[in-house]
Amino acid sequence: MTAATLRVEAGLNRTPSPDSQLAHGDSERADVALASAGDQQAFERLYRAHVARVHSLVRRMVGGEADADELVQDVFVRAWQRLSTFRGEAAFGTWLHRLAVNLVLNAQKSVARGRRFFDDEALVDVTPGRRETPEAAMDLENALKTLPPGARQIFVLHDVEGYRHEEIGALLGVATGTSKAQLHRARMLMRRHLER
Amino acid sequence: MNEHLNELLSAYLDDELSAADRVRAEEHLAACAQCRTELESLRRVVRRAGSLDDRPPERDLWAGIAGRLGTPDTADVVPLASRRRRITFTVPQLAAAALALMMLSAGAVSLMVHRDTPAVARTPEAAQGAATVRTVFDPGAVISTSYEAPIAELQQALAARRGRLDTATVRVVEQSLQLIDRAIRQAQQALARDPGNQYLNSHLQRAYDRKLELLRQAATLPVVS
Repeated sequence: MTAATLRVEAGLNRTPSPDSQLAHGDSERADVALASAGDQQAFERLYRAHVARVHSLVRRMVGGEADADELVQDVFVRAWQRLSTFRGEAAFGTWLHRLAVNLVLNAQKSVARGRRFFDDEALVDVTPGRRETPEAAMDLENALKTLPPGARQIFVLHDVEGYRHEEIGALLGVATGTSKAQLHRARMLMRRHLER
Repeated sequence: MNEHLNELLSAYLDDELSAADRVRAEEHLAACAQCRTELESLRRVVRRAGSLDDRPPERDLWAGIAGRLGTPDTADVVPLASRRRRITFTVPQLAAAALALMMLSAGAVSLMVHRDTPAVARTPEAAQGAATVRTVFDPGAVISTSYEAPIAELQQALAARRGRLDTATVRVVEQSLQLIDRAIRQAQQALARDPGNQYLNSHLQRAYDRKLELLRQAATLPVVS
């Protein structure tokens, strides 16, 4: 079990009591079963329970609210279509999280086709992904938006979501060394933005 | 290690260096204020990244999702001439009802059989007498016969469309039918031992009604395109 899985299954920054976790797990399993049989109300409950988590992940990976909204809708529509493939070995949230990561990466691959996704060092250091905001000190969410896409995804997957470099390499189709190098560059850029 | 650590700082922070490289990095850090400052800055970035809170989208996205979910798995009930009124359930509701019925059936039938069977019926003579009664009048069989035709008709309709239905839905329907059939068998067995029991008669009838209703729903489920 990876750190990312643990974070997702634990509900990340929330620490519910064991009893409420059990009750939540039971009701979620029931909702998954009902939704896979076509119950949209049960699926809406699943959406309500997980949308903040999924939206935060997607928003950070793509670096913008509007793009994230569209992709999050795609994630839940895809989840609805593929509910029959959910076997229940992992928590529903973990399955949904992985679905979202794959969907975002596929979408970004399409966008990146025809140009280098991982910018070289000079470009990373000089050219931010987005226009910088005028504030002297940006918060971390805003600083994330300034990262180049490839470095941002690796930073989010590693430092926010807890994926290992081997997993990131497999997901992105890059060498582990590339993942490590991009992570360091992303951290240095984040540091620069946050300490400005 | 005279040059600055650069990328090795992240590897050091993530505990990814070999033991020997770690010792060398620590020796360098002890002597290099610039690398120590950089390491602490990176540590703060990583700590902040790991403690980000989730927040929901700025607008509710559900309407856009619901509009793309396709035809729901609820279908209009095809009325049978013999039914007095139409009752519509979703397949999941019927599945839940089947489960509830199964649990009720197991408990209630067991209770009825053990409570209402007279002590004398446990003797061989009484058992033989009961067997004689069963051959003369079997209310379970009478009820079953009255449902045979519509159930067979709906089962044929379902079998003909089975390959075009959503597999997950078919699985739920079949599991529900198994539960209902088990409840029917238990009620029939109990009725065979206690033919005059009014509760068991209505219990069996309700189980058949539920089976009929589930089959009606299943026979009209939308096909997967």
